[in-house]
Amino acid sequence: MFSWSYVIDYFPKIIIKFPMTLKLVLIPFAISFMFGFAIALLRLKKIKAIDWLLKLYVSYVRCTPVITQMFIVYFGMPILMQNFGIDAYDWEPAIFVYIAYSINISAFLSETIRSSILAVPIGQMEAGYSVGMSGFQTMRDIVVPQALKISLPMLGNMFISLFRATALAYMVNVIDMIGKARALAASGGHLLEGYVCCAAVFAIISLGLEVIFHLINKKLSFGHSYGKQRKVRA
Amino acid sequence: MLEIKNIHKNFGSLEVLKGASIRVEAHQVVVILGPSGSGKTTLLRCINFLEHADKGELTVGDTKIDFETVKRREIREVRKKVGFVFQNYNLFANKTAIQNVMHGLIVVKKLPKAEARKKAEEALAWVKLSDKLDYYPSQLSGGQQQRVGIARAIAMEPDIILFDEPTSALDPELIGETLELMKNVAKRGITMLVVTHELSFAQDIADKVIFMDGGVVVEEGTPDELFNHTKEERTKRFLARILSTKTIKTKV
Ligand SMILES: Nc1ncnc2c1ncn2[C@@H]1O[C@H](COP(=O)(O)OP(=O)(O)OP(=O)(O)O)[C@@H](O)[C@H]1O
Ligand SMILES: [Mg+2]
Repeated sequence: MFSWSYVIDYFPKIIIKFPMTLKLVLIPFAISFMFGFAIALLRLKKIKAIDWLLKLYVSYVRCTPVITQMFIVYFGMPILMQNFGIDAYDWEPAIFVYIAYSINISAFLSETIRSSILAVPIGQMEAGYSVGMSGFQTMRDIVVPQALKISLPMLGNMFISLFRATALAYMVNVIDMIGKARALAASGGHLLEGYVCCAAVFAIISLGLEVIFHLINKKLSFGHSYGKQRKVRA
Repeated sequence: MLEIKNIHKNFGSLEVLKGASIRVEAHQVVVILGPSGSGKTTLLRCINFLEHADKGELTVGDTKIDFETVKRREIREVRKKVGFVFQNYNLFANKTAIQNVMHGLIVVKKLPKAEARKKAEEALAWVKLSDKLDYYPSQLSGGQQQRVGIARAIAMEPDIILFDEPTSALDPELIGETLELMKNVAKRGITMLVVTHELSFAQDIADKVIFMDGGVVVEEGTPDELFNHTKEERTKRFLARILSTKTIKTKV
């Protein structure tokens, strides 16, 4: 029987685990941002062998379910690490989730960032060169800020979907909010109430994030009135 | 002073520049005319290495460069000495008008921010845009953007400024004011190499007019020599054509 009193009883116990969920999002996202960026820049250099390898990696991530990627890291990495004399069997389960999600998000972010950099008109780079700036300076000050602006809506969506995807982490024994809800159910028998608590938290945070990204997007408009079609000039 | 000797540039199998040579003395205004596809833009772009010429020699001030063996450091050096005003303005879209002008001063010339700001304000005042300092390019008209583009080039105090059809993307009523501004640039004694189809500008301002066709210089001389005492048949035909389209345009 569904009972609101269980919802009220569980809620504080579950929300305590919110920081774990937050870590599951922020750590992989921060790592992926750096790697995604590096991969995007590497691929733009168009060095054949490296490009081929990175393409293979991106395809692997795109074409396999996240959950299998997570299991492969969770079960596979300790075996791999043994070869280097490192005992990963005692590692905190969350570490494997950080790694698995970083591998996953890096690939998607690299594609997003790469296409955004390519979407910045070539004339911007040339304008930088023509005032005597180096390629690096022009990338840093002119092209990348514009590319980030272009990719921001996609980055926001990715962040929010990563946030929701953390709900899988309990499968490798991470005690986040879902893990806690299941643990409570195991002792008290009320699974649904715990999930309702989790759903509420996820919904509220997702909505909050959407508002935040909307505001950042507006702030970065470079003078374009928000929502209006960008004027295209010859 | 800028000199190009025997420049060659191919795009794949297409030979675009076939040994053109050009010389611009300090404080001179030189105008390049020529039909579409004759390689004018390519020539300008080769000067500040937006394209890489295959062969030839480039001298800018006291820097002498062989296109075939040019080094990275030399490219940076040339770009610092050469300003470029683009047909489609190419202002930094993420920077306001004043930031567009300041940025090179800070990053390339290493001026302190306050000093860069002061210089940029002066440059923008000079192009009559003091009331638009904090506007982004997307909030400016084409003519205003081009004026920022000119201010950005001037503020860097290059040895020479290259203009690639700076008025051809503008509405007719904005062309006049931009040409007027370019005349003022010339009066400041700034060395200019200008690709344009505006014969009146060449007539009034140019010290030398160069007619290019098929990747070579066909004819060059003072405006009077080129317009009133034309020697080459190709130049005559080109001038006749451009004059007839001009009159049609003004009639409409
Ligand atoms: N990046 C490129 N790749 C291939 N071909 C090019 C490239 N840029 C220019 N060309 C070709 O080189 C030739 C000369 O072009 P260029 O733009 O220099 O002519 P132009 O004299 O400036 O003409 P217009 O008056 O139309 O601007 C043209 O045939 C053009 O198609
Ligand atoms: Mg051209």
